[in-house]
Amino acid sequence: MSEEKDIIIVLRQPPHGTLYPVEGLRMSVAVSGDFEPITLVINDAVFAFLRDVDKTMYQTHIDFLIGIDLDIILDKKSLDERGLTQNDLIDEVIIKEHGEILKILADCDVAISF
Amino acid sequence: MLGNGILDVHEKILVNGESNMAKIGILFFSGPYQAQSPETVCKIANAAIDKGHEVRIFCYMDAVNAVLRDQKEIEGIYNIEKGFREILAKGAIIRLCNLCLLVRGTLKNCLNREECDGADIKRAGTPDLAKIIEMTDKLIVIN
Repeated sequence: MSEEKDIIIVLRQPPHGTLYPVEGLRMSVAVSGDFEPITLVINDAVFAFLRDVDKTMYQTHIDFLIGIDLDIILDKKSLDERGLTQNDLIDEVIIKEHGEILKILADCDVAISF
Repeated sequence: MLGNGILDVHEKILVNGESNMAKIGILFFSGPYQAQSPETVCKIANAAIDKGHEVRIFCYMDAVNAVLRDQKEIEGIYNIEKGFREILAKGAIIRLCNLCLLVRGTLKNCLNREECDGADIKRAGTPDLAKIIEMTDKLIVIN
């Protein structure tokens, strides 16, 4: 039996023009069978969690992750840089300061970026 | 607790003396002949295997196309198929994302166990990546 590992799935790419957020969330769902991954959202990937963006391809992944109490954490600095606030986002996500995001990344065992 | 670098894995294993063999996982995303990633994966895997480590590779998204058969050999260009056949022959374990192959229409064109003399390559699902993470000392992610 291997040791417990802290897995971070990092979403970086936007939901428009790329499939990376979809695949990243799919990976979070897949890995959740064996671990408790945290989904960290930075840079243009924050657009994937706007209230009004088309989430057809990944709403089920969001619902699944939230349904099993896994966190989806957005970087406040990335939101600020894009003029976005909590009101623009779906309710299920958590917003954290950039320093906290860096600490989560620094402390994890495995980070997979999309 | 392991450090962040691949060298840490090697050093940790040697220092502890528990085993002379680390288990290294490689997850990569890029298709062949556009970026250097598949070539880098082959070379890292080759070097690791030569040092006695175990290597497990998960090909995700376009990376599944790096393991297609009948890639044309062109002088001066690293042949990705040949690179993967080489590391498979040396004992690398390779898993290909099934859904990624399916949507790309390349399900029947990828290398398989039969044509690679029983080497450990097969189609798999994303949960198999979780298994690789669980089983390896360090996962290297190459975009």
